[in-house]
Amino acid sequence: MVSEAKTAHIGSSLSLIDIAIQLFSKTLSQPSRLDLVLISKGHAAAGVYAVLNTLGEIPDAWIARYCQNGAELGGHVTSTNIPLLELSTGSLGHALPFGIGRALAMAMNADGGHVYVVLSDGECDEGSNWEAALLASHLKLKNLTVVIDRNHLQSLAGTEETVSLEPLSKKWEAFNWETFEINGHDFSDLELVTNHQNQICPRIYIANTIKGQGVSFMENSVRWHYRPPNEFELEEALKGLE
Amino acid sequence: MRDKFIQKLTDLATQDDKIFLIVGDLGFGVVEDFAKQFPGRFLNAGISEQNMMGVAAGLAKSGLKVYVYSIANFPTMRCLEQIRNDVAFHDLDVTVVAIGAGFGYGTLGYSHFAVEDLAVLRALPNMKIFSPSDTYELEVTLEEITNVPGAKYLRLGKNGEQSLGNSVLSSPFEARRLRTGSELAVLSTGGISHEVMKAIQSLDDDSRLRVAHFTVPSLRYETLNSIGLDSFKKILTVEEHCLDAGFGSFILEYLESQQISTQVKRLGIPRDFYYEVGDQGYLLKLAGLDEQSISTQIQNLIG
Repeated sequence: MVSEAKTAHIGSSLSLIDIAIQLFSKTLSQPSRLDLVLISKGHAAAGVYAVLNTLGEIPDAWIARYCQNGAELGGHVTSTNIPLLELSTGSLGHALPFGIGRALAMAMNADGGHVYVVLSDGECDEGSNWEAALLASHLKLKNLTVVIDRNHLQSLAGTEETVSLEPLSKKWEAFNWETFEINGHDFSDLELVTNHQNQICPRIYIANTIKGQGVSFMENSVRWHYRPPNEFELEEALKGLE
Repeated sequence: MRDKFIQKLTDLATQDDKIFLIVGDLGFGVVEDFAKQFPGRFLNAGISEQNMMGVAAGLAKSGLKVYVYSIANFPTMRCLEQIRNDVAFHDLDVTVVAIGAGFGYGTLGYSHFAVEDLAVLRALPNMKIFSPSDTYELEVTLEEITNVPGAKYLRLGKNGEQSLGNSVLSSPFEARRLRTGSELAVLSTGGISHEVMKAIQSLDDDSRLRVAHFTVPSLRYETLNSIGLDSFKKILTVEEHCLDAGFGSFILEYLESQQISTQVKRLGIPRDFYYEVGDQGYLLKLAGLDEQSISTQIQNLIG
């Protein structure tokens, strides 16, 4: 997909895959489909589309045409042809405020739905997230859960070298969010995210992940934030995954 | 205008339980009635315009008709990308309401002016722009746009904006004819229409009869169709907004679309920063938009 298109945020997509599998498979398996997953890190579109393809929500033909001229799917998460994604993203710091609006309306209508928002860690540089963090806890939204894909890398360097985020948990705690740290590639941990029993306020799961997870030469490498693999690299990557 | 806006919105909200109001920690002494009557449909989002606009988009996606109210530049410039990406791109039912159009907040200075807002917001696809000139036009506009889905911008003057007279407006999608004349069509939008009216009234009897005056409550081509601009010899546009890409530019684009070649003169704020301190009247005079300056321009045009 990304090799063919010669465009991708492959590293960011791979770190998010397991989180996306957990959230989409859980929410899409409900007959009522009241729950909502918002992908704030829209640059991980390839990963999201691959997961939705596996779950039967996106046809193979669309995946084959990803990022081609006239295609259904582009390089950032878009709801245009996939209404279940609701919010088209690509500029960071947009989905959490939107998610507050959706969660607030669900609470008003007693609809019973739950809103999940997936942020990247680098995205925590954006001030709009912290504006939203203040409001969500003030409103005591108990139907809102955030997952941070904590892969520790952003575009040019590590998050701590760029604009240090740590202590990240304590920051969200100080904003009155119920905060957890989990392994973002361990499904017994990820199951906690969608089990919101006794939730009385917004929750956040800081999911430690590996950028480029599963492809040895891409793992934890800034080089693979954006770069698409060439033919040889693709072959190597697929061999490693087998 | 702000009192009338809240009053009318409160009236509409009694009949329409989809109406939701968000304020950005502004509106003291104005918004309390709405908040008291509809506590479940009111949110003070605090001083966080980006977040406020994103929340509005989320509420609108849930089926609500969301009004986001704040001063001039705050609900427009401060959160422009949220308006562009979240509201306009998804064409959600959010009405951005900015109070203090143009120099409305006068002595508070440039940070509180809305003098480029029309230029920026009318460039966004899906965004419908409304700019009533008095409280009557505001009432007519609000009543109608509550049932118009999608992204909207409502630009309001800060002051009482006295009535411009008895001429009728049945829809914000038509121009309001304040005065009939055959030679010069003066088109204005927003609170500056009062200065225009006074300027025309100050003309001698003979000159006055040659001047028609229309207010334009919405910046859509269909709004202008009712005027018949091709029947006039000249057109003057007046706006409390920078000359670049604002109301006058919109009129020029309309004329081009209709291939009407009538001579046009535009009056507005020159594209300069205003560092001078002064109230709205003082700043309008500096910009050449006071009654006297407008009157002189009209006299020049009708010779």
